[in-house]
Amino acid sequence: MPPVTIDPARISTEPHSDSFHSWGPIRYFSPNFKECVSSRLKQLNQLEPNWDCEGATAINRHVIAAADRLAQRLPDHIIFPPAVVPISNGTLQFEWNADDYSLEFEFESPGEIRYLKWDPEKGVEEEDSFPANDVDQATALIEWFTSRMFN
Amino acid sequence: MSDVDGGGPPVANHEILLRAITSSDWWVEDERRVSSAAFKNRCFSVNVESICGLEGALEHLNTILDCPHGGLASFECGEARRLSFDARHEQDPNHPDNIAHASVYGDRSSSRRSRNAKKLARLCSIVHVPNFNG
Repeated sequence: MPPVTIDPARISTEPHSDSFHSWGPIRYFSPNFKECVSSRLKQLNQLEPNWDCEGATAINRHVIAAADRLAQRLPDHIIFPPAVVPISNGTLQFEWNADDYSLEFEFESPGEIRYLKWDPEKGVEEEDSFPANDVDQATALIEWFTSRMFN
Repeated sequence: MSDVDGGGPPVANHEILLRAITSSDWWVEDERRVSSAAFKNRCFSVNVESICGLEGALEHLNTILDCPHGGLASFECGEARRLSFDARHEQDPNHPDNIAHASVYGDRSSSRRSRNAKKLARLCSIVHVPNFNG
């Protein structure tokens, strides 16, 4: 068997099986979550105008700061670090993907997040906006995603 | 490209549009698909395949955009229009010689804007796989 590289940020316990009922996962072990997100945001902060080769603007530093503030205030070990993805209009989004379902937090401005809960298999296509400083709302949405992973 | 509605003629629904994947951040390597972030700008560029062909779009990607490691995603114009992405055949001011260019305008005021971007990303076919690690 070839060697396997393990990403510690994405390690989780396995969901409990029918043959073993006494325990199940309750949360991620993600000790580097905040450092990972901050590091990634610093990379986005370095993007020059036209980073997409089609005239994109540089990522708004206030949006970056808002995204970092939210990441730093989330509870520990809640989930693995998101993909932090730039958008050509100078904003960014967090993406968590697993199989065919996902969660997106698009920072449409420094003060507002547009979220998308996406799980076509279960008929979930929900989106709305919430304040970027609403940690409770962000936490609840992330818990929706993690609960889906474990069920 | 312009970010102002140019009012160019609508691209016909049957046309296949080619979207350049020019950022490694837009490519989900594990799942070999494009991120919805590639479709969240209010206006983005595509090339009309019937005008430039796949080879022409690749040449545009490699030489004009100078993104040889990038990829190309394709989708049908009519399907995108049903998701409120309206393609207009109009000149790219940065590359005026590109006669295949069209601008796609998304409805960023729609209450379904995130879903629509996600659906457009999911219906894309990858006609040239990016190789950002190459």
